[in-house]
Amino acid sequence: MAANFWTSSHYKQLLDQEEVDVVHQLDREKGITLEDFKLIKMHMANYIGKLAHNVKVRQRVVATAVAYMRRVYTKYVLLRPGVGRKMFWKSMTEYDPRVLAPTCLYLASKAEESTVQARLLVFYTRKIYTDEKYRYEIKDILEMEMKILEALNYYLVVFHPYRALSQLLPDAGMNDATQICWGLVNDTYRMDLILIHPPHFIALACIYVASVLKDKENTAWFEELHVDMNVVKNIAMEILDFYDSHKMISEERINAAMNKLPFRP
Amino acid sequence: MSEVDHLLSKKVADRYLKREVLGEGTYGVVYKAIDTKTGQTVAIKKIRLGKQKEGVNFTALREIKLLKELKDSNIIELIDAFPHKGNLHLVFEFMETDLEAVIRDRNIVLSPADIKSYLQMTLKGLAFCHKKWVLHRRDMLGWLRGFLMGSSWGGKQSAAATGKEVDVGLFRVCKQKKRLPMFGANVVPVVWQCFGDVRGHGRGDNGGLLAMVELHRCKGSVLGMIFGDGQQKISANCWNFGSSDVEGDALVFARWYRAPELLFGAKAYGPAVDVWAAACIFAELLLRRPFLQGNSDIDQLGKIFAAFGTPKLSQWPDMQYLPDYVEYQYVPGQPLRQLFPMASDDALDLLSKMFMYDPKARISALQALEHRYENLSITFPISDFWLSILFYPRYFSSGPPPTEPALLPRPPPKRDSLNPKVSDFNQREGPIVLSPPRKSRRVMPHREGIGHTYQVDKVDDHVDEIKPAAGERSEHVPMSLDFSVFGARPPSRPTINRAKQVLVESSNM
Repeated sequence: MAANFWTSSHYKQLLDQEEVDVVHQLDREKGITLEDFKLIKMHMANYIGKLAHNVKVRQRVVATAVAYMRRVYTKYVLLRPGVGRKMFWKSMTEYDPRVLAPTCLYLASKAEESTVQARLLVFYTRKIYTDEKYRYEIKDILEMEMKILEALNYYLVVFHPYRALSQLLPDAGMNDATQICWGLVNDTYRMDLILIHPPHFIALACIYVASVLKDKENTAWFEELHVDMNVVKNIAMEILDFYDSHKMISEERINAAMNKLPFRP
Repeated sequence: MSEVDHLLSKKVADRYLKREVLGEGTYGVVYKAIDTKTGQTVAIKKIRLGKQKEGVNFTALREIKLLKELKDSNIIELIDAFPHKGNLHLVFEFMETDLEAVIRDRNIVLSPADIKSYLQMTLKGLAFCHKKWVLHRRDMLGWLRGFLMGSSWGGKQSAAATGKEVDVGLFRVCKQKKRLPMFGANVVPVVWQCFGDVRGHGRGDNGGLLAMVELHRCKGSVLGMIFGDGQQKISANCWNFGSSDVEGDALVFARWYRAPELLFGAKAYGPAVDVWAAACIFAELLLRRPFLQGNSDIDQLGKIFAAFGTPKLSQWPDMQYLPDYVEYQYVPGQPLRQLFPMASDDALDLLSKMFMYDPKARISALQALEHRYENLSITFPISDFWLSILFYPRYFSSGPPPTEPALLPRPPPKRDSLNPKVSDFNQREGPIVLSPPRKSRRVMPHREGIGHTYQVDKVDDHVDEIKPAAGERSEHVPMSLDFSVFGARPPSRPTINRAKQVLVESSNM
């Protein structure tokens, strides 16, 4: 919560790219490379998106669910004065993403106040993936929910670029680009941007990309904002890089990465 | 759960030594416990997992979510959380008593300074929540239970003792549209949003009660794959309220603490509802009994109007647009002085501002903390800051200063912690504050008042004794609302003018 992003737990949990790009020891032992790690997270974000589309929840719930999923697999170190350090970091080997992803959606739907029934998730997962590895029961979700809560250290509030976007677009005179910007923001959840940058920067980067795509001269508007344009441009570059590399990602590569994960007995 | 996980959770659970049961909440049991690591006394709330396979309770999750972000000395601290034997356990700082027990305990004399202190703590907690755009919305048992007193009270670490707002299960997050651009150092760049399915249809203007909610839909992504159903709602210029249980919404507070806009069925409301409830507590502190005790929503409004007068449209223009608005027969209301004979002028002035009908005109929690009683008999240029300080006493800085929280009176430690309420009722006489669940009981004054504390005798469940008691009422009993308004003369029944309600009534016959 907290209206003020700068005092929120989200802000305090922002990391650098290098800190996010670390594969858990247990996963490395299974042969999962950084590239696999990213692919699996992207695949899971897509999975959450597909599932959410079926059970009909708001985009915000999807965004929060993806953020939860990414946070679970990211190393967070909590420094507690006088008590010591506590680490929050889970491996894909222990926490099967195929169960974790739908559970994140389940938890996010509660946290964002539009609850989805667990049985619906079980039902639609069976519809989307016929593969037995994606099978799970309601009790798996409920068990995983508790584990996720712990792994997130009970921090459930996530800020998203959507709100900033809807406020910035009219101000930039780019109401006609709402659709494209919204899509861009949706796509940023296939990357780790939400763990690294303040959401309004992500929104700005998406507007920046959109104004380039639409050939709209927005330099003056961006200058008036008094934000570090280097950060905005870097995020924009990352987004464009992602689109470039995304063309190379094939179903086989994702499957190869997923197959490195141990199958739950 | 894997072996390692199981051992870990057991280890955490072993850290706390469970003691007696403190109470039973809506979704779990609260235990007293000792943290063996720090020696601290804590309260552990065990959240039962629903049998309906719904996982962690929705309300409990909301409580966790908000408490993890709300850290303030006037809000209870969520120290830790851990799963154990399939249940989620929340570790809170231990609170010794609650405000309801303080008000109810007739052995406690509350001085004006004490009242000031309690009110100040309540408002501070509220102001903090409102700053974070969270509404308090206390649950059905009213605020009083939720307002607990620090455990360190008067004891070893007296400096830390403060009143705290607890049980945020019903806290909700509000959103408010901010003006652009928003990239200054201390301007909020991203507004926390918690959109539910409320679709407010706005008629209110600037900062109005009714929210204008627009719906923006965007589908799909640049990659051509649909990432869920993109949907966003934007609220216009006003506090709005994200919620998925629209029907539950108007039922947020115990009725006696409910603001008139909620009683008129407002679906979108703001922090002003909390201020109204705080005003009811203020009144309760002054009177030592609940101030407005309606036995239905209609009756509650009747009680409010009988005390303050039926609002005129000029006082509250938006009133007529509220969903459940019905026209009430005009009653003039009473001077506050008559309702609260013992209160000081500045207290009454603050009270009147907190009891303002129009939520837009109602004082905010923050303004209330900085309240200034403007005595109109003295006039001088406003620009003279120091003069205004001298002549416009503020409630919280004039007269007796608020009592240090550590020095506040407190009830004796509870013996029967499982059901303290019952023992209280049987052992003590005097001003007993009844909670809404016991609303069938009446509070009847028939003794002399001492100080501002009314000696009010409770007639237990013997309803038939009420009438003779009312007849015996002696003349020197201080005027109190029960008699002057509702006791002596029959309450003026609200006239229902709305066709729909009349239809409902006639169909019942």
